[in-house]
Amino acid sequence: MLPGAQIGFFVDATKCIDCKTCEIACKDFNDAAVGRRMRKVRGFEGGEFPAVFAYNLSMSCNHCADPACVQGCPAGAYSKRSTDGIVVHDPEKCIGCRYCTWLCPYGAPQYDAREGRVRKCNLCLGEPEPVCVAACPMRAIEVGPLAEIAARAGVTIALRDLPSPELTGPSIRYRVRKEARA
Amino acid sequence: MKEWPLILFTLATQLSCGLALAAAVFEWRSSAVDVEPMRPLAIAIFPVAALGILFSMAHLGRPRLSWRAVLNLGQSRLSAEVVLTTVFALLALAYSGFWWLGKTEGRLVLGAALSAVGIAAVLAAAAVYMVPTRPVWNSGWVPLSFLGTTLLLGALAPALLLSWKANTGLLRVFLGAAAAGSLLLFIAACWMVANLSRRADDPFTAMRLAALFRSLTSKNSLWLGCHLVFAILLPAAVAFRLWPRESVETTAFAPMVLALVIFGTAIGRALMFWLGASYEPF
Repeated sequence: MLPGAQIGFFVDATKCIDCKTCEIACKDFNDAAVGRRMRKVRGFEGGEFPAVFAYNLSMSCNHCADPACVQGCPAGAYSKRSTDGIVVHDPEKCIGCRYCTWLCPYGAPQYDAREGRVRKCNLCLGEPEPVCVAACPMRAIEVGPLAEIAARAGVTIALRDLPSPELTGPSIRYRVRKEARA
Repeated sequence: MKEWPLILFTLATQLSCGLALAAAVFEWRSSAVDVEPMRPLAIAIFPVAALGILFSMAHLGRPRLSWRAVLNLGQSRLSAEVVLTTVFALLALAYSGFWWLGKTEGRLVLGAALSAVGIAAVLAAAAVYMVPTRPVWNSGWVPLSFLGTTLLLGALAPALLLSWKANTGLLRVFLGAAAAGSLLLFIAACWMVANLSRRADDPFTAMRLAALFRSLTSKNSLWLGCHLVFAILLPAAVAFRLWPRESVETTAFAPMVLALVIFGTAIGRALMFWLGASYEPF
């Protein structure tokens, strides 16, 4: 795969207001079971008084450069597309062993006990754009060529409150206040 | 604890592998007429292994597709574990069948092969958990714990459940192996705690490990204590008590002691799953 072809997310945490519209749109589009969140928004706080800070992050599958789920899935339910680097999960092949939920450092694969299988973000394949991107009222989520996103000023990949990006090479970049950076 | 099928699966596989080792050593060190006492435990190897596989199926969301678990054999550690455990169970079926039918020709070789495949399956099971995205598990204490459990349960079962008269030398082999197993579990427990209190490379992992260390040494310290008492101290005490004796008769308490040791190892395994399950940021 050409490095420039990888598709990735851009999340602007300075715009996110924790409204969770992206999360609800994703649940609705994917008919996700109660408690199963294929996209999640979480607030993080830090610092010590008076220099405290807070920020919100929206996250789903990061379609990593080195996805642990693809390598680890015993049933071969995961694949990484050579054309755009999207990590696709085929629920029909999933046996519900949940090994991918241990392998993903971001909690992207969500086990649905109702169906006995895992579901995760497939970047709304077949849609003009992912529903989370379309639904965000703050335009805080974008999707596009990762090389272009990574070249933007002030973006970062390593955050204080997230696992090291060296684990899987997530195809996502954030814009956050400087205190949130690792 | 939603991972109870995996706790029971790993324990059953390790008990079965330990019993296979014990049966092979028993046969190797005994004359043909002396092996009869081991027969019930040797016959139990396959049912225990099969029970373990049934528990692992209970973990799956769609067990009817379980055959797909071997399709990524070249890459997935879980596929390797499934293949080795299945081969182990098939060999266990043949080995238990040999004991059931009283067939002695080639049994020792089959027992040795079964033990080797069993240890490979136990190590493959440990490798499933040793992944970089689970820093709590990604350490040598996991295979040490699995091997310790195999040695402990496999050696303690015949030491407690059989009567020993003439062959106390062999009893001491099993008691020594059981004590070695509990020592491995002790080292694994210390390594686990040390792994939680280490300095991590990134701030997120450091925060998570520190939180787990606080939880393990405060509100979950009772469970850690149960593991230490029943899986480590109790078998060590049994080994020291029986070691000097020239003749040992099994009693009604022996199965209860073995059940307590299995309970202790199950608590340790439950702690392992609880520690590893708490990592994601969301």
